[in-house]
Amino acid sequence: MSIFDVARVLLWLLAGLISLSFSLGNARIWTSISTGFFLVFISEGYLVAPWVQNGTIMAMHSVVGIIAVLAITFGFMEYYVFSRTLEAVGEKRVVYVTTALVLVAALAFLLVNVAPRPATVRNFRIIENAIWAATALINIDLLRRIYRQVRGTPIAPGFLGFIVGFVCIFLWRGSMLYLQVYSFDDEARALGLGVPDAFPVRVALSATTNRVASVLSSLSVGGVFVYLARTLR
Amino acid sequence: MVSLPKGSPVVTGLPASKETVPQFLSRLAASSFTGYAQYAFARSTTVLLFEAGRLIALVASRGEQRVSGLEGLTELSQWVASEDGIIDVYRLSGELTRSLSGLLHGDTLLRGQEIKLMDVRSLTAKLKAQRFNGCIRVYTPTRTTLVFYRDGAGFGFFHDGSEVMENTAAESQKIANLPGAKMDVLVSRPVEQLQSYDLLEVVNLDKIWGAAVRVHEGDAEEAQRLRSAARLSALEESLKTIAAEVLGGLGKSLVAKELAGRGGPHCLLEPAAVEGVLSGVERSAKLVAGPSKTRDLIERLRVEVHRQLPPSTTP
Repeated sequence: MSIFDVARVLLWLLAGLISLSFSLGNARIWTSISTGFFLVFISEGYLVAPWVQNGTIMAMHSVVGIIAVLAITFGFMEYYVFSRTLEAVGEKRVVYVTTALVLVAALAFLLVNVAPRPATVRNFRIIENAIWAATALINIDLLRRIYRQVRGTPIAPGFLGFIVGFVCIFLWRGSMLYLQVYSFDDEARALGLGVPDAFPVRVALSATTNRVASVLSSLSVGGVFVYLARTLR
Repeated sequence: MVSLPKGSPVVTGLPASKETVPQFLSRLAASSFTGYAQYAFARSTTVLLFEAGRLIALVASRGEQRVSGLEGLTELSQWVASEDGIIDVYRLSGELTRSLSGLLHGDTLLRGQEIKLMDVRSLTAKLKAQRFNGCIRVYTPTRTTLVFYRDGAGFGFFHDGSEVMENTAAESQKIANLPGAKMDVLVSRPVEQLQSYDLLEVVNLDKIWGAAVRVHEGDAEEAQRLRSAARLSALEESLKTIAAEVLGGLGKSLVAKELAGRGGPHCLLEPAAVEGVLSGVERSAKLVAGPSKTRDLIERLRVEVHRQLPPSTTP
């Protein structure tokens, strides 16, 4: 595990805790977003978890990552609707319970199937990165629209911060997706799928982008939540 | 506007609003009054001719517009209901009153001619040749006299203070020689074409008066409503401006939404609705601003509402 990985996990831990505490003390409209970002920490936690070699747990981390970005995207969609209609409905409890139920269902799905082998875990990770990369683009556009609606409010700069965060997330997830799809990643090599010495510059550039963007995304998201917490409290 | 010599005064300078039109006219009718009553308003006058308590002629004029009969009574009622005016009542002889009736219903041949610029001798010769029936009104802003003609020859005069037709022209000549004196030439309508009935007997004056009062009250209510709407609209804009200062365009939209949800700015007249609007704005504002800014915003909105709509003006 590299220093980048440790920093990334620690920073996501920080961002996750801030977002969770922000969610607990704030309006319902933020619940999906902050819960989603907290789940990012859980999904990244496999890097330091002792049972990291357990296939089911490793796959579950990816599933949690997918659920996390879906919750975030759903939350921003809700916020966009609020910014257009000025109507905010629903209860926090419903968001927490629904998220928990989805997580349990995902875990049940993994448990009723054979324990994922390394190739299966890699498939989960590819799917996770593909969903993250695609939804990052969707979220950037959604955040741009929200910013236009809430421009002039104290909270508006926070949405610009989220845009920066999602650009970093797109680079982080997209670069890893690129490596995985072309089997340039370490796991592919370990599985004997790798293409040795092919496009070393691109591979190195993608790997560096992945490391740096992963740290920057956690930093920017954590920073945004700190800003939001200070603004809204 | 109709202007007549003053006649023998019965009542002068009586505020028009002192009695309703039906009450006042009924009183004249009941006293078998003969003469004329004149209502004078800032921009209009109405002359009513009575003969033995019968309303035989009525002309209501405002500027160049003249209406008579039922229409004239309707106009008079509306003016009395809505404007300040005074009533003068002058007693006249029956003959003079009937002569005036023909004039009130007649046409105007010449109007507002400066006497100094007129060739009066030539005019009278022409009237004689045409066997003119009517009168020449000679007047200044304060004095009026009438010279009656029948078949082209002058046969009588009506001067200020007279109750009957006079025979002497001295007063008329005196007024004609005053600076700025003017004259009208009025054609009298033939007797057979004049109103032969008592207007008070053929119209329901109480209904006309009631309608006029309702229209006036409606006008007053409408004016009040418009004033109130303008004031509430101004308040809405103020509230939006304050919200926009704190929350940008979203603040403006929040205020608009909360007001629209309660039927528009009119709801601000209800203290409970004001609280509803403020709490709605507060609820949404918390999603885009911190509690202290939200509190400040709500306080500013509340102060603005109370400043523009002091509690004493709300029900």
